[in-house]
This record gives sequence, structure tokens and C-alpha cells, in this order.
Amino acid sequence: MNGVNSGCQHETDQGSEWDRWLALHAPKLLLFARQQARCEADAQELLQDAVVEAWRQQRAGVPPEPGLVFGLIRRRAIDLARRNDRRANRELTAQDAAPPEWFAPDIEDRERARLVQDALNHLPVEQREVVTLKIWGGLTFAEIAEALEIPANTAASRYRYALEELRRQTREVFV
Amino acid sequence: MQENLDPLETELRRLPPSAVPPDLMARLRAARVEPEPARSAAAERAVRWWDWVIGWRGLAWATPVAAVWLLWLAWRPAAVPGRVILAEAHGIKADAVQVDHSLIASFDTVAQMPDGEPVRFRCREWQDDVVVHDGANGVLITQSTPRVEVVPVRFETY
Repeated sequence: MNGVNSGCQHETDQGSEWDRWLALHAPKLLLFARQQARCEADAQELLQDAVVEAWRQQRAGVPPEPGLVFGLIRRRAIDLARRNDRRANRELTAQDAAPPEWFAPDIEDRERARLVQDALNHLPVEQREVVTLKIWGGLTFAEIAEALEIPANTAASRYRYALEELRRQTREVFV
Repeated sequence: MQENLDPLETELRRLPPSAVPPDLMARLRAARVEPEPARSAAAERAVRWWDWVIGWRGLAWATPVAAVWLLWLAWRPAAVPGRVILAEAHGIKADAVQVDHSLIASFDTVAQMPDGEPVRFRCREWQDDVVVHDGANGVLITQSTPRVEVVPVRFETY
């Protein structure tokens, strides 16, 4: 009986740990997935697949490192883009008509959020993913390098360039 | 350790990523993979032994083949060295053999040696045909083989 109780308790602990992990990391993972995908449905699919795969790779139910999930999202996004290349442009244009908001700002920050999203959209993909992983993903350059499969120095220089470009584009609101 | 942040970085960090839609969050919660329960050492050994048995299962068909082979080894007639049993020689006795070579193509090509010296090659493509006819057994064998002949041509000849 005790064994059953402890088993249930163990499962409940893991469930709440899983919930905590999701609450902490899912928003930033979704932000990254949205930047990697062409539409919201693809982004959600990327996130779900990557999270499940990362969790499956872990031993003894230990939650996965966010860097691992970021890397899985990126690899799956590349695969998805290859599959989607044959889609009609008309379909993609229709999907991009209403892009989701990447940030959840306060009322007064709404304009800033829109400007930052626009500025991020104008960055080269390589710089955008580094700056996203650094600022909102909270990863170190070493972790970014591992997730994106690039040297850490490259990650750092891309971040520096991205920050300069963001500074130039958002000069009006961030003084 | 608090790193020294650029003011822009600080401003950017103030923008939180938007929340995950409730339906997606529900799917993620439901997608949790249950860890496998730990096995006891005895159960682990049993599983390993069973895996080993399952691994050899694919070779079960070889058992009767091996038995037949062993029986044949035990009962086969002893071979006598230097003696050929003519009754067992079922070779073809050809009453007509025809060999033919056809020139399919002929051309010259020029290549360069590593030191830049030009070398001309004469290339010929042949088709070799062999026809063997055994009228007694009603057997006709034809074989057609392409052959390429490449011969370097000396300077003096061109």
C-alpha cells in the first residue's frame, strides 16, 4: 500500500515538476519557435515535438535543459522548411497575414514591443536566433553555440552585430 | 554573478515573451512522457537472457539445414583422387563455335601529361560475340561482350 502511495506521490511530483518546467520555459521556447516557423501552427507543432523528444531523451524523468530543446526546435524547423518548400506561395502569404505577437508587454510598452518585433524581423536569421536565445532564452554563449551548432565566438559576434542593428533601429524608443 | 548589461539589453529583457496559448499548454502538459519504472537486478538479467534468445531466433531455420549437411558429410561416397567419373560429366559437346569481333566505334583523343606534353590515344570500341551450338542437346549459347581498346599513338605516326 505504501508502495502504491509512494508511486502516486512520485508521479504527482513529476507532474508538478513538469508543470513548473513548462511554465518557466514554454513561453521563451514558443518565442523561438515562432521565429523559426512560417506560421503559428507550425511553431506550435515544432515546440510540442521538440519538448516531447527532449523529455524522452532525458533519463529518470529529469526535465531537459532548455538549450537542448532550443536546438531540437531549430533542427526540426529546418526539416519542416524543407518539406514546406513545395507549398504554394499563395498559401504561405495567407498564413503570414496575421503574425502572432511575440511579446506580452504592459499597455505602455505595447508600442515598444511592436517596434522590437519589427526590428527583430529585419535582422538576418542567424543574428535573430542568437539574440533571442541570449536575451529571452537566457542561454550563455556556450549553450547557444551548442544549440545552433556554431562556434561560441561566432555566436558572440553575431550577438554583437545584432545588438548594434537593434540599437540603430530602436533608437527612437530606447534612449 | 550579475553580468554588466548594455542598457538596450536591459530594455529588451523587460519585454516578456507572450504567454503560451492555453490549448497548446494543455497539449504540452498531456504530452509528458512517463519514465520507465526501474527494474530489479533479477528482472534485468531475465530480460537480457530473453533478448539473447530472441536475437538467435532468426537462425532457427538453419538447424535442419545443418543436420542435413552433417548427414551428407557422413554418408557421401569417398572421392578418389585423379579419377573422373565420366557418367557425371555432362559438359556441352559443341558442334559449332563462332567467334566474331565487330568494330563499333573508333576515335582519337588527346590528353596532356603532367609536364604538359600532349599524348594522343586511339580509342576503339569492339563488340565480341561468341556463339556455341550443341546440336545433340539442342543448346545454343550466345555471349556478347563490349570491349574498349585504348592505345597511345606515338608522335611519329601522326
